[in-house]
Amino acid sequence: MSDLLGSLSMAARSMAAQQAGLDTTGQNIANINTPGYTRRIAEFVAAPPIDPLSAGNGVDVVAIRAARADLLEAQLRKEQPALGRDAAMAESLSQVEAALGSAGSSVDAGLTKFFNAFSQLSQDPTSGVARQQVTVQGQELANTFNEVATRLTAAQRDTDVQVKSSVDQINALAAQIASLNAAIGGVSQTAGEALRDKLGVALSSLSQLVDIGVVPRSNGGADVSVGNGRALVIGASTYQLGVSPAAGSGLTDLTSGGVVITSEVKGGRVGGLLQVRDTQLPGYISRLDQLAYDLATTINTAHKAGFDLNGNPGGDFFAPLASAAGAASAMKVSAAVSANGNLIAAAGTADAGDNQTARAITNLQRTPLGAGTTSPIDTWGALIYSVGTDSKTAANNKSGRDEIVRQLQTLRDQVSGVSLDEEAGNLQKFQRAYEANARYFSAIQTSLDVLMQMVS
Amino acid sequence: MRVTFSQSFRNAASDTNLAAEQLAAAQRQVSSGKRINKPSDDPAGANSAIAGHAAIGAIDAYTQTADSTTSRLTVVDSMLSDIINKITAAQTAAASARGSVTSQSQRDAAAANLQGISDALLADFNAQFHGSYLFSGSKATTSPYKLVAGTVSSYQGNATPVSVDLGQGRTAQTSFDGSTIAQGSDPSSIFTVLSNLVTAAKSGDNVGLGQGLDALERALSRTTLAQTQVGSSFAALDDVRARLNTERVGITAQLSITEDANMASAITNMSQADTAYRAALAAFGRIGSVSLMDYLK
Repeated sequence: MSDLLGSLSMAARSMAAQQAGLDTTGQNIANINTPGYTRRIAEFVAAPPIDPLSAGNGVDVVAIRAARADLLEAQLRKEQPALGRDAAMAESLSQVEAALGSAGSSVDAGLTKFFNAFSQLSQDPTSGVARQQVTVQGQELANTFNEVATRLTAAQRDTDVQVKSSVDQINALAAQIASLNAAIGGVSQTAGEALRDKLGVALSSLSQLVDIGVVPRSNGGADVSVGNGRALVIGASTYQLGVSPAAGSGLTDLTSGGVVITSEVKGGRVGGLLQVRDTQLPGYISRLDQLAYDLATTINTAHKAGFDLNGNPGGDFFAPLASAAGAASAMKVSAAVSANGNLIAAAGTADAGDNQTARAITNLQRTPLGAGTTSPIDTWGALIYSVGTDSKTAANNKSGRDEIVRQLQTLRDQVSGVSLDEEAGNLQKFQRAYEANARYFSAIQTSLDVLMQMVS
Repeated sequence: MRVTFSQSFRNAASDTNLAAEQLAAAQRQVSSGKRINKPSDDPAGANSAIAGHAAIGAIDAYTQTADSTTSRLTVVDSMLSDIINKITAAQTAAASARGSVTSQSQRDAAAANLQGISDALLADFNAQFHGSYLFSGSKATTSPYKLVAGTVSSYQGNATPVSVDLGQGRTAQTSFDGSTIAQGSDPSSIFTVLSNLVTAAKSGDNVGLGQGLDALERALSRTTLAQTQVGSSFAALDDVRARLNTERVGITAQLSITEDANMASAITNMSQADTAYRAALAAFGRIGSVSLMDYLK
């Protein structure tokens, strides 16, 4: 059985514990908008009695614990790279769509005008105006191919620049994680909670940029790897990613310890950017080049089978292209035809008024190109269809992934987030408990006063 | 379930953003009048819109060809009418020089008349449209007949007709072989016939005049046949134009269904999206407006 002074000390201890509860509530309310903040819970434990006839010795706060949802955070780190990838792809492909132009105002319009110019020439093969029109529309078509190719190449370069800047962000976050690991190792569990909150934010940001592997350390820190288990952060050490120009393309390759790991990065913003830069865009550029090459080659073959206005065999209408690679950006009307419209071969015979070649070229608009099975317009339509489908799929994936991440964040917040109502309740709870303990303190103090009066 | 402060705000922000995106998309459809503003709006639709625009472009080119061919054939028809009139006039002049009672001066006048008709016919056969000869086959820059030292040359053109495409598998002839009209299967051209008639008229050679009149009759038949063929080309061109027009209306309607927004539905969607956006904003504005804090004393 404790004496009155012991009771007074128990009341003081209990008031201090309720004060710690009030402090924790205040901290939670203060950090209600802090990114990554995990709500704190003051853990109360009844103080054990000091003798067998004592009910106990009040209450102690044994720890200020953070309500972490480790499993949900790990799941978030798995989903966020996919969201980052889908978001980056949706964003980049939406720009590619804009680069290709809308139906009836891009390469398709150029093709229609070009073939229509040959149709007009077939009506009046000796007309200088009709010949000029063919040259103009041919050059317009070539310019449209050039512009679309330039825009696609520019989109590839822009994506590459974004990859480079994302690598800088990854390295900055890796350095931050390493320094947090070092700091966490040197402080107590309670003091380390704030650092672990920061670590959680850094890991979350990093997982949006690239798919990472996270191995928790016993002290609350984390080791991080990228690609096929390449170390990025081990304890307080970082193994930064590097960039180097890829052989041939000159685009950025990602390196880790001097090893190229570009193909190992599949997720996160960087994974999405690499997917667009290395797979989607080269595919579109290659199909555009093939269309330009097949078109120019087919037109040239038909043109050379005809005769110009002077009765001489036709030459190349478009400047000859060596190969499909780069054809769209190199396409142009041959210098000879540009300089002299009379060299356009409209005739199938040496007679100036014949129009068989002009008609044959006009009809090429419905003929399958090269080794393919579709006409020029349909080939262009198929390219637009592919870009549209890819962009729509990326946007849909992003939207679906957004929802998954949002649900996980909601689940995490249900465990770790700060609820204003709950904190208000806690505020009330600790305040009332403090008041009750103070009243108990006052009662013991009154008892002591009575005792003192007895001895005085 | 614990409802936390940041979760409420994050969800509200995300939902409001989605509602704003949907409103912007609905507004874009109404303001542009287009259902497809970028390929990803409807990839298959964008593909068929490209094919539709190309088909309309080709139809417009065929229609333009039909119009231009009509103008050209109108000139050809006019020339053939003129040639028929001149052959008829030549028949009259040759007939007037025929017989035993005609005087030398009458025969000389007929001969002079025939010579004039020959010169005029030469101009008709050498008619051009936009700088190219109509009756020299594919040798558009070569006049079909030339006057060399007072004598009309033999046919300088060729027998290759020039045609234009008016659709897949439909063509119209725009340049003609002048010799099939001027000579046909006769041993000599109408110009030689007229020249012989001039000589026969001057000399009162009734046999020669008779032979010439027979040849003129055959030339008249050939010209009339050519004009009939041109006439049927006119009818065919009208058919082609009507067909192209019907095709264009059909493709345009289809393209409109593919590309254009259904305005009634687009405006309804916009109105719904507007209501949803306002509701989302209102809900957002009320987050955190009431909590237990309000009831603590």
